[in-house]
Amino acid sequence: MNILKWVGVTALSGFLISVTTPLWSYLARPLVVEPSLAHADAIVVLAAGIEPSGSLSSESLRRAVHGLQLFKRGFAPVILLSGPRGRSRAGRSEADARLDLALHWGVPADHIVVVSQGTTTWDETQAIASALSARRASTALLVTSSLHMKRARAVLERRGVTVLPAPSDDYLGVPRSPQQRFFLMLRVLEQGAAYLRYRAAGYI
Amino acid sequence: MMLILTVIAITTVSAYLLGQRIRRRPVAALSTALTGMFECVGACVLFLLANVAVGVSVVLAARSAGWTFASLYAVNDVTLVVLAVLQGLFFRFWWRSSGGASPGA
Repeated sequence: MNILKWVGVTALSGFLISVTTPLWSYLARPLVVEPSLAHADAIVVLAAGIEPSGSLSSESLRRAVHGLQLFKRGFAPVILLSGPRGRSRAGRSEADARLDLALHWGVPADHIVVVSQGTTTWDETQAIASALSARRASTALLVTSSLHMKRARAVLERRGVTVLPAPSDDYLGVPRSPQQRFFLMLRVLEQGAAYLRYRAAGYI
Repeated sequence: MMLILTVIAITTVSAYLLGQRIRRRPVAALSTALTGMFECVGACVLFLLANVAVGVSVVLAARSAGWTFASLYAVNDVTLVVLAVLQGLFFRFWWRSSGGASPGA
């Protein structure tokens, strides 16, 4: 049996099925947590990356805007904006860039908490839990991408925070074109592997 | 989706007609070409899996050794796919040319 040939046949078949059917929307369901919007002590917006120029990545901007919309609708008295310096060469962190955005939106400075520590979800939630504890906040509306939500919520709840999921997107509702289905597959594989790694490491 | 399928169908049929009528390629060789294509894809996929596995291992090792922080998301880079394709094509043709059969054949 020619191994290369059968690996190729399997890969091509998997690719065609993945880009022409909603297979990965179904496979993603175990990772997705339904939104639960209610009043909380704080809105927590998780990091998603900053460009070397100092601009927020598109995912970071999407999360930040969603968090700010929740704040403007009165879901919490405080919004916590997270994000390390990462790849930025502009001398400011992702959280600082989000702070500028929040101030531009008219959010009072004393209603904003900035957390710039943590380069992984595990480390980031530790810094966030400390910041929330310092403000005696025990419930949080958690803003992150829908495929990241299950892992992030589990870690933050382990640190003693009651989490209300507020996903910033609807990944399962988005894929319509072959390219969108392909990228959904990559995201599900990425976040599924990360979830399993956190389970294996005993984080969740 | 229909547009993509239409484009692929047009260029595929055009290439087939070009090969058959102008370059006089035998139709029977199509199955050999198909097998070769599957082998190339297989080699590329194996290199991609190997690259991802090595990348994840290096990142985790660097983290645990405390050398530097590297994000696992760095492994999810389209450049890795392109380079895996080049690796797969290169080594598949080398294996074929040097022994007549690819590993596992």
